[in-house]
Amino acid sequence: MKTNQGFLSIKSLTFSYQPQAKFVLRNFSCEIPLGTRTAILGLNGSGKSTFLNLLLGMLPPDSGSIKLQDYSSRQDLSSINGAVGYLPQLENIPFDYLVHQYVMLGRLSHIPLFSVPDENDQNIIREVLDSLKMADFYDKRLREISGGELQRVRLARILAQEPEIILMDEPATHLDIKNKRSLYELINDLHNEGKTLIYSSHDPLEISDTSDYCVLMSQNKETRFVATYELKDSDLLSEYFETELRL
Amino acid sequence: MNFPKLSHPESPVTLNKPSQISTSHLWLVLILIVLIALFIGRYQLDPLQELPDADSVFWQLFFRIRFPRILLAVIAGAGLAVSGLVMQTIFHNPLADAGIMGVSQGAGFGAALGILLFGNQLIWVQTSSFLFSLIALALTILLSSEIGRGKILPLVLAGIAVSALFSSGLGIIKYLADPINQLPGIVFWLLGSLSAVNWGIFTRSSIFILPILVFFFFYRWRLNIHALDKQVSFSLGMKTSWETYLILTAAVLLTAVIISVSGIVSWVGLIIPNFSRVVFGADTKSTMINTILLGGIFMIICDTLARTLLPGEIPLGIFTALIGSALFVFLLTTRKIRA
Repeated sequence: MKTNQGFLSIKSLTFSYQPQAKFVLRNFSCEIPLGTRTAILGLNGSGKSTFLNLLLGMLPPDSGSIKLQDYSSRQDLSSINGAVGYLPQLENIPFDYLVHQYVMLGRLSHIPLFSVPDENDQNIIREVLDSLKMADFYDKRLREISGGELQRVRLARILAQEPEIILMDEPATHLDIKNKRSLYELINDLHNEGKTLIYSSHDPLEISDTSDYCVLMSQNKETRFVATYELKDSDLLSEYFETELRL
Repeated sequence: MNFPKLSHPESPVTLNKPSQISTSHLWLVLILIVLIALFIGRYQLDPLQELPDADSVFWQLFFRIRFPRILLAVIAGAGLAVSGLVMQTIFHNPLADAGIMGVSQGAGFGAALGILLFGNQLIWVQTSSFLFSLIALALTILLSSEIGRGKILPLVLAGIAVSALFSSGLGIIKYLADPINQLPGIVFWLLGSLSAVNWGIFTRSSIFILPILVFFFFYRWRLNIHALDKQVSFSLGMKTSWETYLILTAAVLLTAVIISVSGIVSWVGLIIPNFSRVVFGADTKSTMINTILLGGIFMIICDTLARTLLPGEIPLGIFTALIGSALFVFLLTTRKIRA
């Protein structure tokens, strides 16, 4: 296992959708070590997607900062081009791309403007598809493959991007039990390769073996950052999910 | 590193289907069709006879009228098709074209106004058409930013409103126009034609058309990114919307220049990119050049029919719509395009 030095440093992050509205996040700080798995947990409407959008940089925070810090540098996450890979819950792909053409789009931040992918990019696409055991799918059309396979192809697009951090918005929600298991296996595989994964889930019972840290969110409570093992035999989950719940 | 040799062959670009048509075939067809088109028309060259004298009527016609017209048909067809490809990609919709931004109606209104005010002075009709298509574009963008900045749907809604505005304006002008002297001119313009093209017009319009075509050719791979959801393209590194607006404007400008010269030539921007995607796949890296070539080929075929089928000139838009819709029905019924 590759060890990463450095962490994602979130300082006093505050955000609300309107000036007078309730805060989705208020003064939230945490340090997520690179190379770990973090699950964002909460009920529907607790702000999980908002938090992911803040990490992605799509939403500017009202105040506070999100920085990537390693032994040599410290810079805003949003200022590093292509640093964050993002897997939306649902993705509309209007045209019928072939798998390798779609995965290639992940290379955007590595390919100069007015240029096309080169040999090296092609090789990376093959390596990535290989590593996900998807080499057979290279030439398949996106509309020919199943939902679980498409999920893997979308992850391949993120791996081709070679991001510092991989964000996933409820990746397990639309999957059946078999594909759910293979997704969590994949999360662990990626973790073993040293990738940093942050994903949201509304089912805390699923994440105990696939997360090192949890961010607990609720409409009525301050957001909390805890190690997953701390949730064992604690009342925290019951509090944040407003129903009796134990790991 | 060893890659397993599975379904993917050595060549980096593989088509959806083992399609037999390649880009070089299209080049060949384009050149052939240009040559054929050059030698048919009202004054035909008999290949068995000796070439006519250098200053004969034939060569006058050939160089001064037929040659620029055919060249313009090539770049206009290419331009309309590329414009359609770009719009369809940005709007995530295979049925979009530049008309969605209100430019066609703007151009139609402008041309009709030009005919009403300046009669047969072509340069003013074209200028007015071009100006009003730009005004329509500006109105659409302004209005859409009032509805919701940086999003795609407001552009569509604003485009519908602006189109309706200019088509009602066009209705007023048609109502006011002299039915003997002006109305036929307006109707003819609205159906599209390249019959007035000369070297002057060719030069004026190619100054705009060619650089934009070259721009899009080099932009061809990156154009794909606009087909993705906003959050995904943002995460991949396309962080501002100015780039989208820039290529949107370039695509619309392309159409505005072309239809200010040709009149409303419908269906090229819609059918050619769809046909091109069916044959060459969704990746705009390979679809772009083929769309350019197919657009040129399609336009020359239509324009040649328009000028040779009957003794008089038939409006070009009639043929583009006729052949275009037939092609569309074919693609739909054979499930090449999925509804």
